[in-house]
Amino acid sequence: MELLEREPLLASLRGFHADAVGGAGRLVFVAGEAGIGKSALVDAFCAGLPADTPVHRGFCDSLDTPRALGPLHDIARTCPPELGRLLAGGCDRHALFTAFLDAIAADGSVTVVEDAHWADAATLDLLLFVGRRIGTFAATVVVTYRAEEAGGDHALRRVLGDLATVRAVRRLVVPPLSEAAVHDLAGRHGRDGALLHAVTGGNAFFVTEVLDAPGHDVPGTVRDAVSARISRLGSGARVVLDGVSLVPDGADGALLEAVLAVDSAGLDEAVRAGILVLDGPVVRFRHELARRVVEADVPAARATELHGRITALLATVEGVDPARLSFHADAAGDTAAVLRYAPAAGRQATELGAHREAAAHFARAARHAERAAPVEVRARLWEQRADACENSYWTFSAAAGPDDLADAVAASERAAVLWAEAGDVERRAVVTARGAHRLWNAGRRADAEVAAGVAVALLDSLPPGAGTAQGYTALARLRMLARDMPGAVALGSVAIAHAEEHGDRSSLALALGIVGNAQWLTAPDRAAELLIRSLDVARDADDELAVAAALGNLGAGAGMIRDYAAADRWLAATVAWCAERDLDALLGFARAWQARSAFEQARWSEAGTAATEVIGRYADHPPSRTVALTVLGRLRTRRGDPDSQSPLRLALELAERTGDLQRCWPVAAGLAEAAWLAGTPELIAGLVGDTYAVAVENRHPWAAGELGLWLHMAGGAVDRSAVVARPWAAQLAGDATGAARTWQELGCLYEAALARSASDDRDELLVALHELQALGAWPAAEIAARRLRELGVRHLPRRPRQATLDNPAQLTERQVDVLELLADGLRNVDIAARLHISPKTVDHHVSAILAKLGVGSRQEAARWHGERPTRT
Amino acid sequence: MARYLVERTFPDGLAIPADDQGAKVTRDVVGGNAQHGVTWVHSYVNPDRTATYCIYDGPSPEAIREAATTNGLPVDRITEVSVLDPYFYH
Repeated sequence: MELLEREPLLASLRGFHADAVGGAGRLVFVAGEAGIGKSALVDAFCAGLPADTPVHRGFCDSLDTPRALGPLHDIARTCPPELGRLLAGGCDRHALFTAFLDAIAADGSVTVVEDAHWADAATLDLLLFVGRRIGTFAATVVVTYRAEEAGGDHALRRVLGDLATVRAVRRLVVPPLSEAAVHDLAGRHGRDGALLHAVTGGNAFFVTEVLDAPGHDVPGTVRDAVSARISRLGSGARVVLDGVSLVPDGADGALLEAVLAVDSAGLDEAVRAGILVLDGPVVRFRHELARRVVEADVPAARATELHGRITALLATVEGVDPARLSFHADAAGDTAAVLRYAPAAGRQATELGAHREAAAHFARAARHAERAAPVEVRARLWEQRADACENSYWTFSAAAGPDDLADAVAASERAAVLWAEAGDVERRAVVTARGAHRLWNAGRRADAEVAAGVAVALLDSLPPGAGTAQGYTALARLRMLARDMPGAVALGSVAIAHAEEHGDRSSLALALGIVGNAQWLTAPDRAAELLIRSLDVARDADDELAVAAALGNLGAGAGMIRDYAAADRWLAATVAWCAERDLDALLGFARAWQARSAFEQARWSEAGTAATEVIGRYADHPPSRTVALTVLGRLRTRRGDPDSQSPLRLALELAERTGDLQRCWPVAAGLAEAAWLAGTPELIAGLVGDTYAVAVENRHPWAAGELGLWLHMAGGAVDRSAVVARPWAAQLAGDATGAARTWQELGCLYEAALARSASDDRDELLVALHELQALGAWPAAEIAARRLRELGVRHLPRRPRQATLDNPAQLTERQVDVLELLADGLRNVDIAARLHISPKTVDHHVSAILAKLGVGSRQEAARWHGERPTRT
Repeated sequence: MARYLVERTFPDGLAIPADDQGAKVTRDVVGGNAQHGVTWVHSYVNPDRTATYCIYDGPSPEAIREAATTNGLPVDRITEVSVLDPYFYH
């Protein structure tokens, strides 16, 4: 039929395709309600393409649990065989997705994916992957979906939202036919246009159905219209329709002949009537709405019987997706077949990362197993469902849902009971241990501890095995979450030993990571060593998430102990790895830590940019957001910029929700610093007291140090026996110069200046003022200036010029003067005389210059100056 | 979106000529600000042009600073402000 009113949309599609042919690929989402004519539009677009344009098509099917990467399987048939091989061979997802992009990147190819509102989790991840990268490929991808089925929480909505700001991704909405168009069509058939429009609302499918019916009755609903059309067909055709309606993704020749007893006359009639179409070897309904109507009218007994025959036939064909088999077996009530195919479908979905679908497959199998299978089988299925639900929760993929964790907990409990019934102590122990970890994550801490106790008792009673490695690993993770570091190390070490003995690489990588992370504050070298081993094992096992976790932990751990060179290196590696693989949650966390590292090294511009980015892009990931908000709040506090309180208050709220010291203490420190700089130190005890106590109890030298110092400066009592990091200890002991030197060595320029500003020595204070002004930290600078005035110093130096592009090392104007004289070979006393300042001040400037240039001696500084002059 | 007062210091004295070149300078500043979602409302200048007090609209202090970096302008201090006008009360 001719397409009315679609010219503007076709023109848009042609325009996008022209962009793609020119090298700027496009992903176009085509939205519209069912029957509005999306497919017709896309077909017309494809028909109008130059004859040599490669066109690929894939369909998301309406099986209640869609096939994992269903459309990719369809598309692979028209692509070079490499893609199909990768798909069948079970390679890692990143390689698969990259291969897909390469396959469609042939100049100006068009790929169509239909009905994305039915897409499985892995396909949604693929759309996200493509959307983010297609801008540099010469390819067009068109994705149709039903807007009314993809509302609110729907996973597709998250993909659309995520891609909303990507230039290469566009959206078209297919509207209903206008009244004028409906009138026009009606007129050609001699029908009443107004009535037709009123009933159909301009829905193209509905309009066609009505117009094809004879007579002047207008059916009230689409259902009636379709039924009316079908009732005009012969019984042979109706048998064919019934049969094909039961196979949502279309029936091929073998199926039609063997099972549906199709008589070719009947098939021809149905095709001629326009209800079925031939798509290569496959017969399908022209429209899903029609299929639904027919399917609903097939008598239950007949449907069951047909599904049974379909299952039997498909079982003899090679390469049939187990998801399809599982669907038909379930509809046929064939428990034995479901138990054969559903678990296989679940395993396949897991491998492809479609965890939601995997969980549904295992649930279906478990349901059937209740009546028919031995207890070990049932236990295993519930265990697999629990794992799939948890994976769905952790991967933060587009399809993760809020109930995943609760479902995981429930499934774990079921599995544990069944394994106990089956008498399998090892499996029971593993499931209980994992269940304990899941209970903790779900906020049920008391229940988690109880379960952990049960699990540990069971594990200790067993000889070492692969299962015990998994069990001890889960318990070690739980101990880490509970901040029991010695416990985490103990259990984790047992897990490592068992995992090594039994070659369980994923448990080994995880356990090494746990034991490493638990030791950053007590033995940082050992922590790094273990995490690097974890990284190697993860790489070996091709576990991209475990690699990302290891890289991120190395970065955050080094950052926590202020080894910024290492932290920046590891964090950059984490960001690169995660960006390539769309591992959004870990990417956000690494970016947040980059913000923190830059902030602590006084690279404030960089810190502001990174923190703002994380807060904007990763609003759904509380850990990342908490770190970023804390950095932003502290940054604004130090610079004296407006509204430092909102980000800090928000961070506090998020941190207190987790109760995690790691999140809480930097916020407390930020609030204390803000109170100090605002001249309200009496607030500090209330802001910091509780967190300080926890920091001391947990022997966290950096937290106890910083919070302790703020308490001390506000006149509060500090625990003198607490373990405190070196620079903080120096400040607490009143050694401003020593503390400043240590801070400078670490690269914490603001902390160094702030330490100096607590001194009573005028020269120290002058240097402090100078440095604080250079950093743009005017609240602290004002406090230093005030102290200088109190000491009787009259003419305070004017503000140093801001660092300019000519001054890449960010030396202040005075430091530039000193460097020039130093490079000329003058000694400090001579420099002092020349610039009319004290020699002690010159000493301070020289050490600051060496720190900023990153060199170890005056000679090197002079050489640097010779190669790169700092004044025009 | 908030309104900010931005204080800047130009030790050598700010010089924007009242000709085509000056017009280009200010146009470039407006363009640079736009990249960061920041709007320059107007500025006050002291007689020897060593200090300016600029009224800006923007989403955050960080955006103000980033716009300043893009345009090669210094930032000494940022304060959030709102208008108080004697004529409102008549």
